[in-house]
Amino acid sequence: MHALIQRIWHGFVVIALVATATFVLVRLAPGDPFAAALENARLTPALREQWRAAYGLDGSIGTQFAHWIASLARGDLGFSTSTNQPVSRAIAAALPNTLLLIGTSIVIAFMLGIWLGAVQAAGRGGIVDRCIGAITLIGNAVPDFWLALVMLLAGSYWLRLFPVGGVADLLLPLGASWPVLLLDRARHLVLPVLTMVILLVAPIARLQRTALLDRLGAEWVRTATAKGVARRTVFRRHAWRTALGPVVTMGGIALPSLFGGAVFIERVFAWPGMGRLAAEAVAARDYHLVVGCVLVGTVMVVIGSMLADHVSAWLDPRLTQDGFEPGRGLA
Amino acid sequence: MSEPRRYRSDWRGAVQRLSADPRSVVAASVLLGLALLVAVGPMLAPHAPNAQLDITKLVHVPPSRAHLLGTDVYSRDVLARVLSGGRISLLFATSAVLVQTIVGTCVGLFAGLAGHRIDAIVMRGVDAGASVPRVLFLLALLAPLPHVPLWMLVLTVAFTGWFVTARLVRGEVRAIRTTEFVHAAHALGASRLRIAMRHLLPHVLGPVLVTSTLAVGHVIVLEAGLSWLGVGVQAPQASWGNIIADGTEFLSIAPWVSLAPGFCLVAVVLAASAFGDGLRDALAPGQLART
Amino acid sequence: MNTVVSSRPTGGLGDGATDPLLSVRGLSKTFPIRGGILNRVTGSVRAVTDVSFDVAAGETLAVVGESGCGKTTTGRCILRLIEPTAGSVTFDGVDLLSLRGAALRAMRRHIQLVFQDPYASLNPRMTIGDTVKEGLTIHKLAEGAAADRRVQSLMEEVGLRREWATRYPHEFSGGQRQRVGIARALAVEPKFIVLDEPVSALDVSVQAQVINLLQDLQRDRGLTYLFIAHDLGVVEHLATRVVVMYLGRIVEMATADVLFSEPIMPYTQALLSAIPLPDPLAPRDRIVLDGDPPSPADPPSGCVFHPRCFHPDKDVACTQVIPPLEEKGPGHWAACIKQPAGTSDFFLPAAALRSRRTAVSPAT
Repeated sequence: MHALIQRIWHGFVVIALVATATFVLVRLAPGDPFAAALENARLTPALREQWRAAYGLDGSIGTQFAHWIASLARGDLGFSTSTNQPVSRAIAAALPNTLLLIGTSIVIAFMLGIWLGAVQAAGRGGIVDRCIGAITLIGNAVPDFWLALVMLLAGSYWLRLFPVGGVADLLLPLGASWPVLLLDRARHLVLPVLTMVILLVAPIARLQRTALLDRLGAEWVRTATAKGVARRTVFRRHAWRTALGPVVTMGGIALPSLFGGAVFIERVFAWPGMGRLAAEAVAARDYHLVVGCVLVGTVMVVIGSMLADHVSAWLDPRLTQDGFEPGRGLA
Repeated sequence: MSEPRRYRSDWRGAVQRLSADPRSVVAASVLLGLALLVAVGPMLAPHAPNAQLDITKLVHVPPSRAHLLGTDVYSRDVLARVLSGGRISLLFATSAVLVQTIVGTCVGLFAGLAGHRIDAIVMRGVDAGASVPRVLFLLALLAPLPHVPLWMLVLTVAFTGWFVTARLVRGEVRAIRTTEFVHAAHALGASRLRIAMRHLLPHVLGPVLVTSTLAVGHVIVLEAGLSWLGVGVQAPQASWGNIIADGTEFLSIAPWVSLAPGFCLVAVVLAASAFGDGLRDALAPGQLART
Repeated sequence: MNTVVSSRPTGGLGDGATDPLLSVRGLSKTFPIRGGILNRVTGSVRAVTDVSFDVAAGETLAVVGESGCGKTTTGRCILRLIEPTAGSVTFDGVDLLSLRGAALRAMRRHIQLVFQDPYASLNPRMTIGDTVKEGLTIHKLAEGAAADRRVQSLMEEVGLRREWATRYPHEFSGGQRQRVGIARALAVEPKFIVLDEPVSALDVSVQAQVINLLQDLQRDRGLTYLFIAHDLGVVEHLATRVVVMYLGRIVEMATADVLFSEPIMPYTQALLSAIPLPDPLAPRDRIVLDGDPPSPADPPSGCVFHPRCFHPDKDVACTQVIPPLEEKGPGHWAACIKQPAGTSDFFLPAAALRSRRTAVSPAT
């Protein structure tokens, strides 16, 4: 319980620091936030002054900061000039798609990665181990945006199996039955998820392999085997649970890179998620939107890491000790 | 009195183990080979990287004898671009990693040696920095000023990447700080600076070196991604990232433009990871050495 | 209810003619216990309470007690590796606790420390030659080739071959590493060396060698030792005076002869009876103490030893009064309210102890 409170406090401090940092960034950005709107001839100086007052840009730094925090607490992240709506609304529309993408990928990648890692550990040194090892090695090395392009090329252009992008086929008849709609959604989901899964499976499988080998050699496992417990049972009951711990922890640590990877993958597949939103916002000089995405992304990461920490501590209490290195850490 | 057993010294032993490991040797050769290639390649290539050869006839020529990697939409020789871009990408990655390693080590040393309060404050900041998705962070930093000079880009990327090193160094320093031999140096009358330089830093150097080697792979991919999005290295200067961007629009009709630089990236990352793993094994033999 | 009686400053040998080299008065060290959500201080551990003693130049003062009695903490407080919470430490007329920065570092030359753990106290990434040389570099005592020669002669002095200076600690055994630690301490030519259980981590056969080395060094260089140990047998032949500590306090202090032949405190007697004898068949009168050692975070009231004490006169007063350290005989101090001052009488079990010890020839 006490650990949970500490973690929540920790997460809160992190978010507060990031919010402050983003405030500084927004203020430091050269030019008036309304510069993009300057081209609009209907924006008279008087009107501009009104807008500036409305956004608290005319006060001292202190009041501006207070204003910023207050609006964050309200959920008001500013106005997005490129999409002509409040930032929060733009993000709220996009975030679920990103979460769908990342969530599905995490689930599949974990199951696949853990299974592959276990297969490798069981057949250590053999041909299967080496093959899977080679694949995961490459999976670790390939750039996310490039892999997405390759997937697109192979899956959509060459094999013509999957749609070129987007979340759903807009041309489906409205009255189509739900299995058809679901299938359509699934087809659109395949390539982006496959890309992310390949990227995720590699480190998971490698870590799982190392963690399992580490534990299988551990004293207490050997004792169980010596006591006469069947090897499979030893594996399933004893080694399994603790080997999951570091993998889950790694998941927590890898979360930021997942959100980063989403930016590229969503762009390639025209997936309307927060990542693509951020990239487009940059191109459109919509600074408030960019900052909003950063903030929301960080909050997601913090929540995710806290969850991962909690779960992995439950799985293997040793991980809560300072300096304990489960298997070897990842890059 | 018994004769003590003969062992190799620490660093020399590490180098020996490293050179005996085939994986590390291959990886190091690949990296050096690539570095050499991009260093002299652009000068030896038959075409200039930015020269538009014949906008009417030589657009999107597939790989052939004349153009080993084909041409792009502006009839530029892709091989020449890849070599020239390689220079930029590799230089970028190594300098950014150098900066982020130095910054991270200094902050980590400072936090590791400081009292509880200061350490907690600094580490909260480090945690915050590490929690922000690096790509988003960079987008936010680069958005208002897209056409920054290259050196500023390097610094910005480094600025988002020192957190992991700082955490690592701080952890090691805090662990070593309470060992008896540090107390012994203290008892001898060593100043804090001397303890930091002579006793703490050498212990920290190993893991930092490993992390930095692996980071080169990450940063080169990161820079490529940013350039692909348009916020990194700007045209007409080639970088592997923006070459891929040039080819993205025409992916189905001229895939070689995007594919070639990608394979180069994969090669660099593979080599950096393999060498980093080899380094890790060489510096800590017997500690969970799994092939 | 505790009645706290402050102890009077205790003297050294009673000689009075020469000033002691080291003078400790009222040394105390309390560690806070942190817990709770914001790492608040929830309690404290009284590691060392009101410790006072003198060490004269050239003598060996042994500080003995079981684990957790505060002897190591006392040693480190004297060196200011740990900052004392209260008290004073005067070395060669200089108030050690008031020194700062460069002055403190310069002072460290004169008081050195040999650590207990020969494995952890040497930097695994430095050659032993560099380890020994470090003191010379810090205090600018020698440089370059001259420094190397000094290192070589130091190594030979402690019984190591000079060629080994380029090797690393992991290539040596525990006893050899401890010699390196001793050489390192000697390099800066100190007057006073605190030996923190220097042989506890070594094999018994090696212990004697190292103790002999320490004796030779003391004789050749005129050193003064503070020898910390948990085993009276180790200090039997080395100590001039002995201080016995229990739960952070001094319970008895006397010259070695007197302490080993006529101990007053029940605890000292128990310690003595625990010294192993070479003849396994010799009749033994082991005094086994009841109960477990108490926790320094929650010490017993009054006399800290009272739960385990076997003094025939033990009563309720023992749980209420913290006994002061009083001179019970010439140069013989003890902290017990049941032992009359001015005499060195002791009760029956110790008498039996004495007769047994004088009957058996002492082990070398």
